[in-house]
Amino acid sequence: MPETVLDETTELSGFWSVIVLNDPVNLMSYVSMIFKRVLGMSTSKAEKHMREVHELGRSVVWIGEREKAETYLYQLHEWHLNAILEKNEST
Amino acid sequence: MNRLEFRLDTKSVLPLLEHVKPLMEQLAIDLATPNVSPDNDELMSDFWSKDLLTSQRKDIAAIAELFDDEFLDTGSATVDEEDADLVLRGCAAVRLKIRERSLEAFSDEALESGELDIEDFNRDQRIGYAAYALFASMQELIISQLEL
Repeated sequence: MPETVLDETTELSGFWSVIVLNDPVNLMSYVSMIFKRVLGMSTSKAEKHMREVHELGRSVVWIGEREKAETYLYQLHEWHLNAILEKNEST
Repeated sequence: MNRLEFRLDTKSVLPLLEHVKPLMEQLAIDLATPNVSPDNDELMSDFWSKDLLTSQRKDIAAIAELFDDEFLDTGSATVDEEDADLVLRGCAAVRLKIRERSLEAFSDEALESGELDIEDFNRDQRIGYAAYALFASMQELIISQLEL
């Protein structure tokens, strides 16, 4: 009987980036507060990412496994931020 | 922050509340942001949107409660600490909808910088922008109190 090799890698495995996109409406102080609240960032880290969103149009705010990335994404959506998931190809 | 009280001139604020009332009704049906589920599965996407809409309705209900009949009588609106997140999110949802409905003529850059000539606004834009600024001020005040 031939040996069956299971490929455990799936489309959703690996690491995923949670990315926040810029919008012209939400206040900078509001965005920083959400980063601290949802992602547990320090004030300086939250402000760095907020400035990245504002100046570059996007910031990768978290990288990790898909399930947790989805949880963070949902919470950011609940706060009305424009956020997406992207597969992180560099990890 | 235990409780934050806003005192506003009801005569000035009433036209702004009338302006946002239909937008708030719309926010009970549509999401404020075009956020979609990361999942390609239709059923999962549907759950994602429905859960977000349920959450958004609570945000909007908190805003409606803030500007209830008592506010119209007294000009006083209070935010308790346990409702602060709902009010902050509700303000964000309302501002996003105002941007979509009343301020769509302005570029993102102009809106972000605040470099707008209000003299050129039509009535709808003027009231919309005043409401947009009011809800931003409320957010700023609540955040400053939460972060004390």
